[in-house]
Parts: sequence; structure tokens; C-alpha cells
Amino acid sequence: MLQKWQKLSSEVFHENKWWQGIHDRFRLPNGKEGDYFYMDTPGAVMIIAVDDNGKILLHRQYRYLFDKVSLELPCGGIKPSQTVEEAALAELAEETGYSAKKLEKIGQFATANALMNEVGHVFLAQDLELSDAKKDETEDFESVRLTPEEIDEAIKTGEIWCGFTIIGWTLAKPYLKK
Amino acid sequence: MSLQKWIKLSSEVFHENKWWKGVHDRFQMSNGKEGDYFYIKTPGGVLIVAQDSDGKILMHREYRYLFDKVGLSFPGGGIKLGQSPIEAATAELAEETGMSGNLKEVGFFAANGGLIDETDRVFVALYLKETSLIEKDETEEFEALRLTIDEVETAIANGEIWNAFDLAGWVIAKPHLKKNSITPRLHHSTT
Repeated sequence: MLQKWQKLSSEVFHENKWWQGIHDRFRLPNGKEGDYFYMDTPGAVMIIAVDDNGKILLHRQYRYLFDKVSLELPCGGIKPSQTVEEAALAELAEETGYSAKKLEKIGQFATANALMNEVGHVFLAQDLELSDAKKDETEDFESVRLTPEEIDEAIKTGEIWCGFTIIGWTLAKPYLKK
Repeated sequence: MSLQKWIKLSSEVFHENKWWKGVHDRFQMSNGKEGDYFYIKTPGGVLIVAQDSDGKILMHREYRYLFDKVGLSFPGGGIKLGQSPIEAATAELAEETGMSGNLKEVGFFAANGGLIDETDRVFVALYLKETSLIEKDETEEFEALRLTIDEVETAIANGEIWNAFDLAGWVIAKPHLKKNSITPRLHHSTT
């Protein structure tokens, strides 16, 4: 049987506007002790927004850490003051300019379970209408709308390499109307 | 082209441990605005989807400390200093399954490209053989199991596979797997 590890201590060694760095000491079932260094965040949201023609709202975005353009579904971090649903609607508005009359949570996943305790919450957004979006000025986007087949193809060719997008799309597919 | 690159103004390692570095960059956007970027830097990762001669996929259950629960995963892990991605994949497959095989790189992804500077490469391993090259990591305790492709899909649908690394790796590897058994077991009907 897989046994739990015991937390011996936990200390914040770094803090910025977006995340904390945490260092835990832990003990394994066999008595050995070790160190765990990880990132603590309030979580993330990802939104699969479907328009009335069955197309999905995506965008191309420059990714600083990889110094290249990435084709992605709308996603972002949850702010401490937001509920998960509020964060999903805010990201949708900021990144697409739309709000959704129908928003449904369809799944969740750990965004990097060895390095972070972050949970990514996946939403399906339908019945879209234009909102008075406040665009995040650090984010520069090229909006695109793709059919489900075009998204599958972009994953196969490697044009979509954003893990969140690959997972969000995979979890959403069973919920899309044929 | 409207998507412009950002300029790195400075980069400082503010934390370093055995597994990753915490880095703080100052950057400048094309409109002149400056900002701070705090992120984790790792040497990269590998994930291996290994399929046996019955068409089954080698997986394991593992306790995940940060979530205090068990996750169902594929073999994989971080690339160690001096390793090429294929060397890392070969070593992880041996350590976690006791197998070697024909490895082929089929794609890549960034599990969390906003906060972690890590590219994860996906390998498919076929024609598996037992190998003696096993040095088990003593912090890793596994329950090994083999699932059919349909059973992996079910495990994703019911939330048993819940980590980004494994989910994205599976989506990328799946088109490269054999649909049926690699060695047909026709003789079973007569025994």
C-alpha cells in the first residue's frame, strides 16, 4: 500500500505578487527525512468558449519563458480576492472580450504536481456575448477561432504546445455538442 | 507581426535547490513598459508511454506529497545534468518499470508555461524487454499496473489521472501507439 509522507515543518522562503516559494521537511514511511521545495499559488482557470457556430475561441500569445509564440485557450491565475467562477469570467473577458451566459465547470487537474500545489479548473463557456473587457496590458493577443478538428490538428502538428490547452481541450471534448 | 518579443533587462537566481532554480527577470515590453517575472527553471522533463506486446500501457500509482493523494502516472521525470533527453527517457523507463525498449520522441509540451521554464519531451516505447539496469530512487514508491488504451481513457474521464504532465503526454503519445496487440494472440482461442 502506498503510504503517506509526514510533514515535519513548512517555511515560506520566497514571496512575490503571484506565488510563494515553500520549503517543507518531510518523513517517509521508512523513517527517512527529506526536503521538498515547491511553488504555492491560488490556482488557475482555463476556459473553453464555444461560439454559436461551434468554433472555439483561442489566441496566439508571446510566451516570455520560451521566447516564442504559443496558440492557447484562455487561461490565467486566480487572484486571492476571486472565486474560481469569477476568475474564469474575468479571464474570458480579458482575453477574448466576451462574457458567457452559460459557464459550467467540467474538470480540474494539477498543473505540475511535483513542483507546485496549483490546481487548474476547467470551464466550458457558452452563449457568448460581447463584454466591456478590460484588457490586461501585459498581454498582447491575436484572436483566432478554430473548429474542433483544427484544434486536434494543431495539437498533432505541435503548433499547440501549451500543456493547459492540450488538457483543457481533452477534458472539454466529451462535453461539446456534436 | 503584432506579437512582439519582450526584452530581458536582467536575470537573477534568487533560490537554488537540488531540483530547480527560482529566477527573477526584469523585462521590457514593446510599448516600453517594464515588469518583473518570477519563475522556476528546470533542466526539462521526459515522459514515456510504454506499450507492451499485448497492447497494454505501463503505468504506476504513486503518492503525491503536494496533493496528499495517490496519482496514476506514466514513467517520467526530470532530465539530469549531462543527460540527453533520450538518455533521461531510457533511464526513467528502466528505473520505474524495469524495462528497456525502442524509444521514439513523438512531441513536446510545456506543462505550465506561464510559471515554469520547462519543456517536457514525450517518448513512445515499444518492443519492451526486461533490463537489469535498475537503480530505484528510494523516495519513489510505486504500484505498477498495465492498462489498455481504453482503460487509460477511462482513468482520464474519471479523474484518476489528474496531473498535467501525464494528461498532456498521453494526448501527444496516443496517435503513435499500436491500436491492436503488437503480437496477435490468436492461439488463445484454441487452448
